[in-house]
Amino acid sequence: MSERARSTTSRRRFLVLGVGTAFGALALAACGGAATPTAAPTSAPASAPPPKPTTAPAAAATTAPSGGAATPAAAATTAPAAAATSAPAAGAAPAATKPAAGASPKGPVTAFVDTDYLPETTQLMKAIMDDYAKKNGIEFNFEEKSGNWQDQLKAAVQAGTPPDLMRIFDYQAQYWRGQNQAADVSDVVAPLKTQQGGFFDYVEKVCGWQGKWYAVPYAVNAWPMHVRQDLLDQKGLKWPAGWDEFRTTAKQIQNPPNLYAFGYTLGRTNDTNNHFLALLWTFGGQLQDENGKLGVTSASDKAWIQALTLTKQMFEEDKIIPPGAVSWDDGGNNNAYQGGQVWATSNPTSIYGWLVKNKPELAKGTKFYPYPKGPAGEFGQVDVWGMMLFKASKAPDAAKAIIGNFADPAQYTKYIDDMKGRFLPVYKNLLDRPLWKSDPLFEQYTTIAKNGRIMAYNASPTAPYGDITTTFVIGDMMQDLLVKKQQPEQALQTFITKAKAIYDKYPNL
Amino acid sequence: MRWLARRNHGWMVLGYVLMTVFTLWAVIPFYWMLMTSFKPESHILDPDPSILPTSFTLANYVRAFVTVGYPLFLRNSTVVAVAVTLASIVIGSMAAYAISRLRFSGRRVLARMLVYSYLAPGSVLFIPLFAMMVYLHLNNNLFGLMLAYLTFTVPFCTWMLIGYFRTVPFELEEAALVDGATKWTVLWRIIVPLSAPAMVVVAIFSFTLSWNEFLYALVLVQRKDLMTAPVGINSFMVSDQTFWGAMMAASTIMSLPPLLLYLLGQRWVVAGWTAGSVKA
Repeated sequence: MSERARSTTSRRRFLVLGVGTAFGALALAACGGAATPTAAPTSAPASAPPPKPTTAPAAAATTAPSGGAATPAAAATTAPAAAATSAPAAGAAPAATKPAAGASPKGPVTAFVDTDYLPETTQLMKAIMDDYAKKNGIEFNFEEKSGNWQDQLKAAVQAGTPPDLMRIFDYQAQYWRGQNQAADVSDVVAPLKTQQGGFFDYVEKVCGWQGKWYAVPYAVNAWPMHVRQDLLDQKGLKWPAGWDEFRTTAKQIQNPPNLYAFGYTLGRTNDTNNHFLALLWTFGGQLQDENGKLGVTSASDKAWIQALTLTKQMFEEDKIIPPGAVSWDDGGNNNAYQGGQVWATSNPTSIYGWLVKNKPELAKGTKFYPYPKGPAGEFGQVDVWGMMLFKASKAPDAAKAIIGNFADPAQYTKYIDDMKGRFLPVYKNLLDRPLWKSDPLFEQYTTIAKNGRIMAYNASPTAPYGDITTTFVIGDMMQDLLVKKQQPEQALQTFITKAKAIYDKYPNL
Repeated sequence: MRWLARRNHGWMVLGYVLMTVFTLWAVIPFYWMLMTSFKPESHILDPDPSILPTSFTLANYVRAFVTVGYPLFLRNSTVVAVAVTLASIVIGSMAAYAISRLRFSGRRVLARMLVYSYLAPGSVLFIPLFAMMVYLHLNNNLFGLMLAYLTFTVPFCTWMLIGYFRTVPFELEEAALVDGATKWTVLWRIIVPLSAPAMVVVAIFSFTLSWNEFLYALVLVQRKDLMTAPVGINSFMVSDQTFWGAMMAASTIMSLPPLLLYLLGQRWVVAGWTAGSVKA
């Protein structure tokens, strides 16, 4: 290489330097994490306007379904405006929930909350919490989580850096209590639980334990049976009162393989727990007794055998359940109903919310019903959502103040009203609000709050319950029953053996 | 039939048939992804799905790009993947040169350790790695994510380059050293330019791995504005609802950079993969 060549910059070197410098600057800018969070990433995938606490969810824009019955979202549009505006403005902190001055730092407080399929649900919650935090000088980060973020949480907990607050449902409050991670929030709940007629009984089972509270409840998420009323009307049929009638009606309605009757999830997944247990209750069975022990001890238990036999008959003899249901995941029944492939399925109102936005005609033809009656009666299925506080929080008082304010009926009433039926309230008397009386369908829907049961019925969602439901032992039983073609007694015996082994692991629940 | 009966023609036809089957096997998922990304959400769950599109919409791309802010996730992934690729090449080249050319104690052990470290599954390491990152205040930081990725890209790149560097004639290096070149000059002026195919392979490998990686990105980065593209795709699953159309639109866009990279580097890839398989 000549001296001249060495001293001058070649085009290649110039390009390399240029690209390197540009990328270096970009990388530094990105690594610093100083990028301004845009509004976009905090939005849920569904296209929705930014949160406006007084604006009705997008789902509410639709008309009532046929048959004169409106679904919760649709019916909510007829709710008197006064109902939604009577509550105090968000952010007006009740005295009971003011952060204790000087007790602990005023933040930062971080909350992890699952993004809801109706983005307004979490956006409005964020708006109320943000507003309160701002007015009280608390540094607050509300992080919406979607998809599979449990690994993120596990790592954060193990590293001692969990969020301060987290939304919980079903067994989670008890799980984190058992892990010695959930802080006692009884002081937050104490002034709340006596208001508006108090909480529904099952609320304490989910969020409390032996007189103490480990989560502040804020929503009852109901599981109504979504039913194609339009198909019933076409055939001049009515929603069946009992299981025998259900089987007859189902066979008349369906037209396989294009349309099956019952979207009954039977795979190794969460919805299988929900679907089977709701059916089991109608025969008088339960997963847990009132002491939190296993609710079935004999492979000849009448209620369990009847429930399993009915499941087998519907799947194998009547063929009213899609064959693929044995391998469905949690979205399986959603997809089937939304795709017009099943006549009825039990689910939170996420299915309806999707239909309103994407298939309004199908939404109009949908109506909510309870499960058909069995020998033991008819029961709604609910799960309770709450906010828990991690013990590792460095600003527990500020965090408690934020959730206490949110769950106080002064704020909460407006939140529930503005959700237009997405959730049922945790306070009994709030079912008397004009919102719930504005349409006949809400009678069916609100009945679920009154006669509802949590999956862990007839006890709290204990540690063994959490273990059984998350390791899909009920799903395994369905596989034994329907894939391995075992008899109900045989499948139940295997279930009992596995379940007993799990309960034995947790002598103190 | 006589043509078929001729020597090799039957095998050739069989070969083409198998190739067609395997090609379809590989291409159909991509085709399905592309078609789904252009379907209205209401048609995606139709009971009778059609191979050919019956309706067309850009709404899914609008949702992914405007509503969810996927471009920001793509930018984050680009920064991480390019930085990791460059760092892997530089560090891998130096490490491979040292192991293949220099004589020092523990050289063989070090070379074996590289392979073993590459074999450790990420699902085992993510929690301790997260704890380390928290201790170093490198969580919620793209630089921390880059360091995490280097733990598996550098061992592979080094191992790959060791094999290729060994095929470069030692005489070339000796000649340069006689002319007064330093080891550093030999590496960057002689060895690396002569190993271009292997460099392309390790670059493509590092880029693809960093681009597609999910678990570390999910765990180490919790802030939404620092989220990478694969984690962004995960966010199209909300509760028990999956927004298939937007998810497929995002997946289509996300699959383009690696695809382009493979197309551009195709010429060197084959040579690179077979590099070091025979002794020079």
